[in-house]
Amino acid sequence: MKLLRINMGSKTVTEENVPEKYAELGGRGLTAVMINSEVPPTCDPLGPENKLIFAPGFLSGTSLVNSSRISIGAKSPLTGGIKESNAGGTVAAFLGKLGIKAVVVEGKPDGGELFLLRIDENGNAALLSAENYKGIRTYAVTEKLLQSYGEKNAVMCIGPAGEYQLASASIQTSDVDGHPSRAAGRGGLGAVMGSKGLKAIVIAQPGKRNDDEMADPEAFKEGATAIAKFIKEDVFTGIMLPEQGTASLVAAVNSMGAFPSYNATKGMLEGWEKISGDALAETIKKRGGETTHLGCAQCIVRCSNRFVDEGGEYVTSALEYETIWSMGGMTGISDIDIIARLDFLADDIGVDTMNTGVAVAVAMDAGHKSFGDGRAAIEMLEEIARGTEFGRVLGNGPEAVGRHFDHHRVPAVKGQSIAAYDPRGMQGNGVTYATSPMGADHTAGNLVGSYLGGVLNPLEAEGQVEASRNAQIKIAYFDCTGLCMLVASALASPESVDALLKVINAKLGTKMGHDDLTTMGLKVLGVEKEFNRKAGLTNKDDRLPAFFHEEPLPPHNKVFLISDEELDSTLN
Amino acid sequence: MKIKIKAFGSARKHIPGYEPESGMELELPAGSTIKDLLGHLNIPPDKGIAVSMDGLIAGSDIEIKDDATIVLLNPLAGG
Ligand code: SF4
Repeated sequence: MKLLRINMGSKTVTEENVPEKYAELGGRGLTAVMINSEVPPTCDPLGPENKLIFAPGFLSGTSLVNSSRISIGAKSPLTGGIKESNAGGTVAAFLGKLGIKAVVVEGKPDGGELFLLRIDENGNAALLSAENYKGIRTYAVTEKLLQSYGEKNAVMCIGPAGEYQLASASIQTSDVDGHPSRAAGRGGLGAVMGSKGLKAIVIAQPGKRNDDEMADPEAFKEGATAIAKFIKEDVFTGIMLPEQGTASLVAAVNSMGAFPSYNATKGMLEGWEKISGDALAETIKKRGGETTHLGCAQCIVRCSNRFVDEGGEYVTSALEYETIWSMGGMTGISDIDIIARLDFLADDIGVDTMNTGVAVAVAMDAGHKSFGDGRAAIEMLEEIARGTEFGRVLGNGPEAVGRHFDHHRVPAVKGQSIAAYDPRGMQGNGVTYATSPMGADHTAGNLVGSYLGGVLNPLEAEGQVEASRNAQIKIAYFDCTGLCMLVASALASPESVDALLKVINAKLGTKMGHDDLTTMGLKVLGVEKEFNRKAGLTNKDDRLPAFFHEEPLPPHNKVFLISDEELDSTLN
Repeated sequence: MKIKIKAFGSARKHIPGYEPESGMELELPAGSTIKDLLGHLNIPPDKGIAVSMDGLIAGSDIEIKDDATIVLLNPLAGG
């Protein structure tokens, strides 16, 4: 396999064989190790020394189901630390099939030029001018690029927010329908892409799978068949996700009083039933949209959906739990049509739906607008696209908004907003938010399944640190594979982990066992923490904002209970 | 005792004629547990339906309180 290095300063593309030390790495593991060894930790995230790395998982591009997830990594302009943001779509499968282990974007153009990186069906790359795409939003850019290069191409691009280099800017990737609806949203990586003058990457659909480097194709096939069976037979991935997507969590988390609402002042949104997974599915079906929709290549779960308006016209794709929460719960908006519109706008402008919804909520809490005012929320997002002064504050995320209004209640860690689980109602998710090297991030170690399964009491301190640690380790190795984290729960039994090991060993020619996966996860987390330490982050950054300790959350009226010492013990 | 039931996702399929708007009211003998309730509704334990009572996840041995609101939920993992 090869690495592509794109130098935006000299406008050159170089191909390298993958160095031995990177051979067994993929996805988040590869981005973490490369950033830690190649990016000066104290560099300006938007300067020439930072690198933006696109790495499919080491199983991406194989025939394994649900393996088209890409890790995008860099030093984050939002957190000031290392970042991996994970996205679906078709990109990871394409890069894997082309035998490209990573695309590394380095340097920075002198002027404000804008480029497009084209990777053809033979895996050859070229930089082209993208001046005519300046300022254009992601849906329009993607449509134009697919018109020029063919609809079977995969596109990754930034919108106006990325060009403005705002700290909430996302990188959008095209789904199987060619909509840029899948996002590497977290950590402001769209701003890094904007700083490099890179508007888009267009990747041709590869002709045939690159199986050259499969160590044991037969064993791989056996393992892959077993994995598909585990995913199909699991209730969550086989039934629930296809029927309602992640939106079925709306009912669950509200019913546990842990749905941060009205800028995390309540644990339950009034009228949440109107935005529940059931209500969403019913609306979509009635209008002729799709509830079971293929979002990412080779997915057999199909958690995605296609939300349409009353006239049956496309509004947005994959209206997901986290966005329903950030644009709905946090802002007090319980109108699913407005939430869908806000989701579309965020994707189109190219901002993280979570960071942006929370930024809107902080502004509302500070008195800028009222909670529940959907029109105002839409107008605020439009301000980001227009690049007004307030739009830039908003597009820089909740902490920027908090500073702007001098407002104390900012639910963020390391600058990044929390996700759709309040740490006072799900204490262990609070541990993950505080201690993940990524900043507040639910995908880094989410314990909602343990709470719903009755394995862990969400409101007590006991057991949370250990549960968060284990979940963080598991996700850290899972993110190296290219598998979608939503299938992680279907691959929890020892037999299913055996199947996973079989495909990993068959692909890489290794002899890994169960403990080696844990070692892999620990190694990734260790490297990430090392980078953060060198970048100047300390254990003082592994804390939740004070209000989570001080302001009880109704209906349970609990505060966050985990001590600083316990937090420090989580990953040390 | 009287309780209120709300069901979501696949849990609805286990309750014929369930009305999402109004939910459902039920009379149960005092001292009934979550397990008794699921038995009463003919929901097999292996369906993995999670249950919350008044905003707290309730295991199968938990005793149901008079006037409680019980929510029947999908089996779930992370989102
Ligand atoms: S389950 Fe959803 S997010 Fe995961 S691969 Fe499938 S469509 Fe993509």
